Formats: sequence, C-alpha cells, structure tokens
Amino acid sequence: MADPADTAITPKRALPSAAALAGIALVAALACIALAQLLTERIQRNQLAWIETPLLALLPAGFDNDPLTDQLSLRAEQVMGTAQPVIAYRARRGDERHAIALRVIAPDGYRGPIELLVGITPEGELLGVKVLSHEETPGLGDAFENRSAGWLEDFAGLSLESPPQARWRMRRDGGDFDAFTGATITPRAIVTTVRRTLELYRSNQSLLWAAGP
Amino acid sequence: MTATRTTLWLALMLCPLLAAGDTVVKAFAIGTLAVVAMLASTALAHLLRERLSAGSALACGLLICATLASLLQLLAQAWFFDLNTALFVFLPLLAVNPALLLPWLPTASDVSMRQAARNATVLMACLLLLAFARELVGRGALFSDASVLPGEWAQRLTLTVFRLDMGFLLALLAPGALISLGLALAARNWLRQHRATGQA
Repeated sequence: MADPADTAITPKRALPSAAALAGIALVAALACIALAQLLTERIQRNQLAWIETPLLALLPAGFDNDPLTDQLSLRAEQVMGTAQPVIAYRARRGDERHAIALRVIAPDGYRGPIELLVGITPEGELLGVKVLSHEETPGLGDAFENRSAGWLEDFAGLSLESPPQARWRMRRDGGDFDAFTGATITPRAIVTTVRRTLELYRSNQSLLWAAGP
Repeated sequence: MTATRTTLWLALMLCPLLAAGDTVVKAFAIGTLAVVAMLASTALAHLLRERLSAGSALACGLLICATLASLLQLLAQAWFFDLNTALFVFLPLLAVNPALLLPWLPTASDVSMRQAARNATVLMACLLLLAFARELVGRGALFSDASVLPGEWAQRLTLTVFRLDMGFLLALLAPGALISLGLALAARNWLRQHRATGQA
C-alpha cells in the first residue's frame, strides 16, 4: 500500500465496487432461483423415494391406499421430548386400519438426533424400526448401521405389554434390552424413543388415524 | 509458486474435504465436485477480475464461490441424492474452501487456468491416496460406499480385503484424516531431504 490517500475508501470510489457486487449478487441469486425452480420436482421426488423404501419394507402388504400421501403431522413435545413433529404414514385397507409408520426423532443420540421410522400395527404391536438418518460422524455412520441392523430387527413383535412398560430400558439400567457392540448411548436413545412412540400411539390412536391430511 | 507455498495451500484446500473423504468413493465424489467448482471459480475470476477493483474482488469472489456451492448442492440433490446425504455438511462447506477462493485473492493474480488444473489434479490425487489408505486401514475394504453412486453396476464394486469387526475407527474419523495427511507430508519431506542429501 503506497499512499494511504490512494487506497482510502471514499463514497465515490466505493460506488463502482458496490455496483459490481450488487450486480454479481443479483446474477447469483437469479441463477440459484432458476436452478432450484428447475429441480424442485426432481428433488421432491427423490425425497419421497428416500422414505418410500424403508416405509414399504415396514408396512405389511395388503393395504390399498398410498401411505406416502396419507400422512399426518403431529406435535408431541411432551411425549417425544422434541419439538420436531411426528409424521404418521397410514396404510389402510378400505376403511380399515392396516398399519401405521411413525417418523420420529430420538433427540439424545450419541452425536445428535437420530431419525427413526417405527412401524406399528393397529393394536399397538411393533412391526419394526428403521433408522432413517443420524448425525453420527461420517464413517462411524456405516459402522453404526451395520452393527445395529440385526439389533433393530429384534423390535418386531414387541409392544408396551411385552416387555412391560417399565422394562423398556437397557439391561444395565434394569431393563430387557441389550446394547449392540461398541455403543451404549445410541441404543439407549433408540429404545427410549421407540417406547415413547408406542406410548404416543396408545394415547393418540384416534387422532393418528383421523382421516385427511 | 514455491514448494512450501504449494504445500501450505494444498493442506488448506484438503482439510475441509478430508472429513468427507473417508472412503475412496466419497473422496472421488467430493473431489470431483471440488474440482468442478475450482475450475469454474478460476474461469470466472479470469473473466471478472480485471473489471473489479482490488478491494471488491475478494467480496465478489466469496459471493461467487457460495453461489457455486449452492448450485452444486442443488444438482447433487437432484441427481445424486444418496451422495448428497453422504456428504451432507461438507458440500456447502465448499463455499469457503481456499481452492475456490485462491484466484480471487489480491496476491494470486497469477493463477492461470493451467495452474488451477494442476492444483485440481494434485488435490484429487491426494484425496484419493488418503482415502485409499484410510479405507483400507479403517475398514479392510475398498469402494465400500459404492452404493451411493447411481446405477446397479456400482453395487458390485466393494472389495473386502480383510475382515474387520468394527474397523479401526480413528482412520475413518476426521482426526484420522489429519493424522494420515501429516504422515503423508512427513513422508514427502523425508523423501525430498533424502534426495537433497544424496545429491550433495
């Protein structure tokens, strides 16, 4: 920097720079908006497909509606311990209740919230549990999925009656559930959230099955 | 650029990408996106820099890099959805990667497209090399994230070299990335010194 007077910012000097910056900002914003507009439909379809695979794996065949669109969102901060709404995907056969899948958040995972999809029969029995997403460190993530896959399968058939509600905790906490290799906090978070989901289902059955989006 | 400066830049460019590059497939993915953004940023810098005052060039550059990162993320969401999920936070982080900002810095008026292409190649090679080592040590496998790539062919790519129950997690985590980068740099310096003393 030679002479401070040369580099001093005066309104007159700042004007072209500001104009250039504003111009670039405008073009940048337009480019983002245009691309986002162009791709919205595709991205939404991707997101639906992303939830569709685990959803169809959880729900037993025999329903005749589209559970993906027959959904309902419910805020249950008291029961679930998080302000994030619970999303219910309902599978029906005619007017009959077939099965429901609740998309819930386990807020107290090891690294952060874990998103689960919990399948429940109309009677309140578990069909299965799937992990949708988690914020475990990349790398740790896959290991987590591989280790927990078999463990998650053991949830099928359980309900708040079997094991009794009070035993819905880890074995080391005096409950009926074993942890999987190399983790304590994550399994505990999942067990707690699955129990809470069952409780939520039991106390809000009619609301969760209410017609319409 | 002198060798030390190149090494410094390389380390700076690599660091934000390393955490995402724990497997060869993911390293290749984030590397490709970084290279695309880097070349686009350099091209735009060539187009615009002369018309911008020294003071506003960096601000404009930041804006353009952020835009490039946003556009790439949208494209990734549309066509490589699983990949986008796998890379989650590291893709937006491209916006502040020195690799993209380099041509906009007041000191770097000499960054030509050729230089940028060379930097990109070195960057990609380093990412892949480190990912190779990390995946092998951490999982005993190669190409294990192939499922995030589109297409059926990719699913058969995974190569198990040896069985690991839980793997050597440190190698896969971000600290492991920095340790392996440090080891790679140490090896490079040692080789260089060895050659220098050999010649003397």
